[in-house]
Amino acid sequence: MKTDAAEIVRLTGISRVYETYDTETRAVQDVDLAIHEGEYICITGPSGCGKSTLLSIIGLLDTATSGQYLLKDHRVDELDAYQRAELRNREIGFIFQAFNLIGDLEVVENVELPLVYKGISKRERREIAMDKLAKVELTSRAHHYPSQLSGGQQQRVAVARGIVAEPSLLLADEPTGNLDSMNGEAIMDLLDELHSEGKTICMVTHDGRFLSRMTRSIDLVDGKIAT
Amino acid sequence: MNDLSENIVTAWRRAVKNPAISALIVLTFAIGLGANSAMFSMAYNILLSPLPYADSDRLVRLEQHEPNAGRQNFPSSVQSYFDFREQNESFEHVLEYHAMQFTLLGHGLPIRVQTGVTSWNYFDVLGVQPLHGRLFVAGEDDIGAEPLILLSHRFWVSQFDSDPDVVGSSLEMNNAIHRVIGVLPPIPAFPDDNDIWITSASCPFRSSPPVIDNRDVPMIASIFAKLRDDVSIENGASDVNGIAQRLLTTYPDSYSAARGYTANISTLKDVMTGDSSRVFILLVAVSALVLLIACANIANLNLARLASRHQELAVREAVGAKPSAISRQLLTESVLYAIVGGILGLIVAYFSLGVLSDFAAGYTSLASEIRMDSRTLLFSVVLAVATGIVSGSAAAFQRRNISKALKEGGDRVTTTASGKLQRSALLAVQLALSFVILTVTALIVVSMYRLISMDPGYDPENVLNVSVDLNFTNYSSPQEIRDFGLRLLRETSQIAGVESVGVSAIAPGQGGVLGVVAFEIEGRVSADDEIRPSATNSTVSSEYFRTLGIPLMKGETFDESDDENAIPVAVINQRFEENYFPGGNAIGNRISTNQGESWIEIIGVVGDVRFGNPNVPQGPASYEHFPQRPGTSMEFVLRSTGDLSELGSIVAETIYSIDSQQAVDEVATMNQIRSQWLEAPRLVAILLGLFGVLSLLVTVSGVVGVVSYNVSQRIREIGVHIAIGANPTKIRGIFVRQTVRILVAGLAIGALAMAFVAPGLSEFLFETSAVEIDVYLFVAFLLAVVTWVATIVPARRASGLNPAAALRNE
Repeated sequence: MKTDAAEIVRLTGISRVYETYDTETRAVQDVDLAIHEGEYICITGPSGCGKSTLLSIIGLLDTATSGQYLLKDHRVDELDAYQRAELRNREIGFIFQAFNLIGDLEVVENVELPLVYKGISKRERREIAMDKLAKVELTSRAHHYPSQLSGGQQQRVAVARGIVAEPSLLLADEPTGNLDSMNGEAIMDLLDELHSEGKTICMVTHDGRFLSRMTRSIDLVDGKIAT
Repeated sequence: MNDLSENIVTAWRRAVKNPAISALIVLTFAIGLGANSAMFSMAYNILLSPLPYADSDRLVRLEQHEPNAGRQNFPSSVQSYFDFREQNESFEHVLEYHAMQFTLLGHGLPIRVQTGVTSWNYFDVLGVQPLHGRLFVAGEDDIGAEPLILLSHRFWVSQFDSDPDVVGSSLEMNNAIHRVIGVLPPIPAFPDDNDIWITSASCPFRSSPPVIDNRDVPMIASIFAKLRDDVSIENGASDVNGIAQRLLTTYPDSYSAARGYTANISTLKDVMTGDSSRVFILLVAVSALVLLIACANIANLNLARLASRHQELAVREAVGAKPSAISRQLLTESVLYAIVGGILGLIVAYFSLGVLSDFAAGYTSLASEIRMDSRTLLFSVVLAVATGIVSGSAAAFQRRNISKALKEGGDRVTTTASGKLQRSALLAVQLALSFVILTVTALIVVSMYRLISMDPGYDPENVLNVSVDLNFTNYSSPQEIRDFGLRLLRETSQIAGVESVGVSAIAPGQGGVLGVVAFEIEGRVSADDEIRPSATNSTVSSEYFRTLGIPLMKGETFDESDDENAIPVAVINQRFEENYFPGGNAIGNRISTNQGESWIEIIGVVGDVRFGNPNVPQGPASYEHFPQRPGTSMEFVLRSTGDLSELGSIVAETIYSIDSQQAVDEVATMNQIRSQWLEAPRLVAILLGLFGVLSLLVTVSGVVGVVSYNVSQRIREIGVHIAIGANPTKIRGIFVRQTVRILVAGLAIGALAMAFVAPGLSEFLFETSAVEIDVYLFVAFLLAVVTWVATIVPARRASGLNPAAALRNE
């Protein structure tokens, strides 16, 4: 762990409780966690342990029920929806298990999307997006639609989209979960490459094969950090 | 059959499972089908159904015209009627008809009755059977025959409490005892809404030798005839025109070639329908558009419902269902919804018939024939089934990819582009049709507003009109008439609150058509056969113009000294001066209405007025002074600061105090009289407005439905957008932009459609262009606002989604 590196995320006593009319589910309980620049963190644990919920909280997609969350010194709980959106757009990139590409947009348009919300001009964002597509070796598929791509290619597009806005933190939720082993390896190689270039990555997975690639592993059990 | 019953059961289960969407579909069908069932009942019974008379396709009206003098279908002399009746080779029967007002005595207070005067066989030819008693028989229209009365059904119910024993009783009219011989069944109020019917022998005017013998007295309002079954309309028309040409040759003093005297026939159906058909066709067209909008809306809802059933239908096909069976299932569901909606619509239509009948009465006497019969039911069923099939076809015959559907839920986050395009196109069509309906409605409402707010040339506020038609048997000399009129003017002017009182020979606004009189202008050449100048003519008292607030533009009006012994004088309107004295020098000139036997001096010019249809500007008009030319028909107008409803009773009492045998015809405020003319166009505007609101409601539900559906189908996509930094405004923008594109397409199509609709719309508009750009922009703005509101509600829901849940598509 690089303790001298700048802190990007600090979670203090974070809990997330889901309430229905007759039950209360504690998805995340009293989690303290810090993520520093350049880390390659893996959150692991059995199914239903709260991994994805924790990742959603870190990614500003969900709100903690209690506790304090500082993202690059911003008190996240004090932000309104617009400020959270701006912060998320600026600081966080996502890679999802289900790729979540937008079917009606071309590959390059999918990659550009974060830059659209950032207000980058069309010409500039196209240049940046093509550059990221080159990085994932999909320049030739820039004007295809996602449905015309294989699963592995779609996830590479998702990676390009995740990094296009140069976020401080790249969050990956089971990025290999929908891929065969060969494509899964290829995506992990890509993430490794990004990490080696200095990207901070936080990944959720229950696939033990990739743990050795990480700088730190966090084991979550019943919503609590076990290690 | 088993297949059908299974489809019905499945459809029922699905309907129960989604009650809200089912109710929306049924309601949308009910709106579209109900409107069309109601309009069909009206239009079919008026425009398409045979007349409620025997051999109605052979019934015609014989018409005489003088197109060069602007006279169409003018009344006939008795001699002309005889000539057409005797000389024709085309008709089985030729019938005469005119209507008069008489005073009926012997049944409580004197009653002024609208009386139809006709040939003995009028009702026999129409195939009308009496409800009680008998009809007239041969010989009962011969001069000297016993005076007989047939009661109309309405009059029998209102005045005799439907007492059948009235048949055989005697009533006094025109100084003669008339025996009631029968009661007519309910029949269309045609040619007039008569209270009673008598034969021509009982009419003191029609049976007087001077009237019978004089070819220049236009006594008979209408000549009806029944074509022989081997004679066509064209041959019948040719026959009567041949007779007209012979009359021209034989009686050149009475029929003018210069005025283009001619004769032809019109079918009774055309006569009774009149120009109402254009109004009914407009309403049918608009209601059809409402149904089209409903169809597009339901097609869209079906497509949306289908998208959520892709997997279910794929499973059905995977386990052996044929694609055609799936299509039948979907069509069965749609048709069932349509039938339920159609039944609801029929119920609403049934209860709206009374209102529609009242509305149609403003246009045609066939309004009484509007009913819901087996034809309406058949039409409604066929329309419901057809509508169900049309609105269900887009979903039923959509191409389905089984393997893709079975894999669905994987990586794809949005619906297919083709499905979205189809739904967007349907919504654009809805918006386009709504634009057309709303623009038509708005144009007619604007036109109506201009009609209502137009200055009629007089001030109808605080003015009461009392109609008195003196019983000519009691008032036979000009002096008796003059004495009654002047006394009533004097006594009513003394009533508290009355500021001024006037009288005229013609009811303001009630018919609005004054008698047209041809005249000579002194000093101008006027050959016999030359078309003479003409003007409407009335007689008025000295205070008439002041009472109605008609402005004096030049010269002076009448005063007390302009009596029967003074030089005859006239006041003309502006149009008269513009037409015949373009130099503006009418005052001091003299005119003659009896070819120079006597002359009337023009002493003043008053403003033009629109007493009748406010759509029709007043033509040249001249007014003579009441004491110099009194007539039995009197219309008293009273301007008062008091309560006009009480004033009516006081005036009636004053009349009875002068003559207890004199009936009071009608008491109404000038505002009421004016509003009668506006009633029909107002009702058209209201009906169109109703259709406009319905179309807007259906379209709004369509927009809400499509956007809500898009939101539901794009939840994961919304999650992605939020995850990569879209704020709530940008999320809403996704849906607003999509709707704006559809709205712009819809408005463009609608504006294009209006290019075809507008030319036919002009005839319905008053001082309003069919391409009034302000109206178009207003409707576009209205649709934009409504569409925005309908979009923003589901779009707000989208922007408020929990992104984590959205990404899991919960």
